Amino acid sequence: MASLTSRSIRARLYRGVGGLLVLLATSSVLGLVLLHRLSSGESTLADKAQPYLADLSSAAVAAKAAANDERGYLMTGDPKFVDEIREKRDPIVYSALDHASSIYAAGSSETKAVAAVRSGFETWATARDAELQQYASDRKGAIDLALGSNRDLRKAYESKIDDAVALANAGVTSSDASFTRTSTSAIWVLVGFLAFALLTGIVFAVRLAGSLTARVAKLTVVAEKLSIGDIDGVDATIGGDDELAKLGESMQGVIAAFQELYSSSSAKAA
Amino acid sequence: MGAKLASYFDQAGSVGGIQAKMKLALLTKMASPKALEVADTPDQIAVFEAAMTSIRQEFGR
Repeated sequence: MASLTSRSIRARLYRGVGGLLVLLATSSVLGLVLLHRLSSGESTLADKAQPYLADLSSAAVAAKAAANDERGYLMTGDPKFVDEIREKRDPIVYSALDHASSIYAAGSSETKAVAAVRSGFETWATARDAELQQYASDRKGAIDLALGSNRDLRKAYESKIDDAVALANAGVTSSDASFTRTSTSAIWVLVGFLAFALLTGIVFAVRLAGSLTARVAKLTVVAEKLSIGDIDGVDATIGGDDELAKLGESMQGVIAAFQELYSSSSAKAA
Repeated sequence: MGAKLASYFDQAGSVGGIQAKMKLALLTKMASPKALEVADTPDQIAVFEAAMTSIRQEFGR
């Protein structure tokens, strides 16, 4: 506790260096907190938005391929197109949508958007399967369905996919803006802290140097005079209440003793 | 000025000679020529009195 108020050089050094270390530690902790915040924002993008968009993209591509196979079957009657739809396209769509619906919380707008896509696709797939069955007995009727009401159902789920993608893109844009804001504020906070620490360090160094150098210089002059036996009018008294002041006081006592010896010897000789 | 302070050096001389005078200067941080120049302030007189007490004890008088 005494070192908090003491004027000694040691206490002042402890306070100054300790203060700088505290500032350094504080800015380091602050930097770590800001880095963690940036990392969290980045994780949200990497763990949620990115896979969500990838799943929607997979589902959209597979759904589009299923629509192409539907057309291929209607144009050629080749059952390989129907097999493609059942064995490849539809499973990919459902698998991607199932995964997308597990990324965000159940009640989130993203999960609801996926459910809407899935519902729309299921409606279209059911109608499409009926249309493909009708093709064997009524080719024209099947084609009319494909170009009419079933086309509308396909456009409806494609629109739902667009809505879900737009929602995810808005989240990505928001996360990106948040990331930029956090990184900018992190830079300014750290620069501010470092500038403050630098300024404090300079002020501390200048004040300490200012209080020491002049008095050390005076004691050095006194010591140089003593070393050549010049004690006439020498005064080692310096201001302050620290170790240097005590050293000057002690030197002044020794000087006074020498001056007294010199004075008494001179008086005797006279 | 300083006549009283300077008189302490005479007292120290009679107690222990030059050694006591040097001791007095060492303790008070002031030699006799300087003591003649400065004012006889109560603070300085107290310092010299305390130094003389120490010197008398050391030199046994």
